[in-house]
Amino acid sequence: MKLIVGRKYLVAVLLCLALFPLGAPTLFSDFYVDLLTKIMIFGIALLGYDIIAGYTGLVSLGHAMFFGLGGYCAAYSTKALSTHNLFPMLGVALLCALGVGLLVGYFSIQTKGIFFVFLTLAFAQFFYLAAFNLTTITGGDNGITLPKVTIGIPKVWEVMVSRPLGFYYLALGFLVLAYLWCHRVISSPFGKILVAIRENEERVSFLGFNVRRIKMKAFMISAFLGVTAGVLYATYNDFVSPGMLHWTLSGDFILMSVLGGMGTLIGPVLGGAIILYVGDFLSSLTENWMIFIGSFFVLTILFAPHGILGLMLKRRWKKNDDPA
Amino acid sequence: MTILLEARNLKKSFGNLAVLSDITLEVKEGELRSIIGPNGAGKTTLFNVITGRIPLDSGQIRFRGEEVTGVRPHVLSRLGMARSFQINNFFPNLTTLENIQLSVQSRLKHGTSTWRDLARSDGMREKTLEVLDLIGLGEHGAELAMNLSYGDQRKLEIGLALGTEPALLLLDEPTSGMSRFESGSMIDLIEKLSKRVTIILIEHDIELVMKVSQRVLVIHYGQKIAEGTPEEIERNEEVQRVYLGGL
Repeated sequence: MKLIVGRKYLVAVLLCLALFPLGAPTLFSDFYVDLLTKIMIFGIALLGYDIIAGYTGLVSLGHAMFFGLGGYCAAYSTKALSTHNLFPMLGVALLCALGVGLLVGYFSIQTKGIFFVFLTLAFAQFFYLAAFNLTTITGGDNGITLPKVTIGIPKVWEVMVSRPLGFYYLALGFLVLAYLWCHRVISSPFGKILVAIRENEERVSFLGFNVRRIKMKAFMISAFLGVTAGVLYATYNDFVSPGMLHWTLSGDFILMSVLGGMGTLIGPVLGGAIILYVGDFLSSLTENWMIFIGSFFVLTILFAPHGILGLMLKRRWKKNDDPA
Repeated sequence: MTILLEARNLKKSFGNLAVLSDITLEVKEGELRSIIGPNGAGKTTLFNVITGRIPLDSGQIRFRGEEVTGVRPHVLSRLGMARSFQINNFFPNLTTLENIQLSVQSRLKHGTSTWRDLARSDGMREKTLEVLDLIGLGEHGAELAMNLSYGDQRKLEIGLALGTEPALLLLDEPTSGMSRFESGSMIDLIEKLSKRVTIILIEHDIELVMKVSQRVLVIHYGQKIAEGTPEEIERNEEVQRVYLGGL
């Protein structure tokens, strides 16, 4: 089953997102601009996660590792490079993702199924515990506070990213770039091999593809997008704490992806938006809001195995009723 | 003629069970070699060790003059060795066309590019259609592989191997489970292929084997019991006793 969202819908959504903050001061509160910023930052991590989990079929329970790593990289590069500029932070984070991704990926991708799940979980928990316990370096549970970030050319021309508007558009820009990249990747020859690996890994190797190397590349793409989202999240909140590395956040990534529709790029981003929005709304009503999210999740798995996006597109297919 | 594949003293045991004991095999370029033997004789295991699917206990394999013992399947594939499987082993949720594309793509210069557009790759379309035509599935390109008839699925299984432009093609019971009618077109396909590529064929259909092979290897309990032309094999008493006699 193929789930493809038409280009005109995407452009419409993009337009709405671009215009949204303009109406914010009068129509809605800044609260929604803030929420959407978070949704878009999560969306970047979820796009990366979809490449490895949705397309390649390697469901990692350690994606928060890269998210948190991005956060801590941002915090350290501020100190070490004495800069408030976002771009050096991103550079450091991407380098770290390269190192950690290669190391964790090397061991993880040699395993499959439940072993992959638990190996990625174990690596991620290692980072979580390190961040939690090495209080002298990481501040432990108290985390690290970050300064307000700037963008531009370091030391030459820098401009402070305003809140909430500046950051909103920054996140939107990164989300669009991340989407374009992921879309390119999944439409490329490489992307076709990823799906084939999900379908039948052994036969892919008998066709002459080095499956390990290809899985590794996919893992790295998801790592790069994970740290990018992490840098943005930490700099947006001016704060990084071990929570950004915790396995429950990795679980949230899975939840969001499954809910929205894995292997569709757009689906997981949609799933993230729903969980973040509904979660926010429900948690203002009741302490036990997770019950509702949980039931929602169960219903999705039972009645919409391709997620909410799958449900929406299926309806459109029926209308078109294409016999070919 | 040059020797394409040379396998010496291949041994493989699963626990105490010796599945291959001292099998030696030489296949010349352009040859169609068949391997026959009763069920459990070790034919598929022989394919599995030659193509790197499972490791050998001992023995040596040379392919196109290169030592390839213990080499992984994707490397062997790149050297020009391709195989089909006895039990369908393709990509059921992709279309027939997409299945073949993957195979063709493996030989393209930018076949693993994360950036280029697959559809615009050089020669992609022509080669894919050529393979589809060759296996007779030209009209079923848009169908999901899982929805093809069983006979067509068996052809797709071979098509996946053909897309990699192999020098040596190992076919593991291509007619298994096929109806009489379907196996007829499979025999035509194998004859057509034998003019283009060296083939090692595992087959239970003795008529087919006798018709298409230049040489036949008979194995029984992991041991070679006879090797020769189809006529020699038919006359061989031991083969008659353990295998052909039952037919």
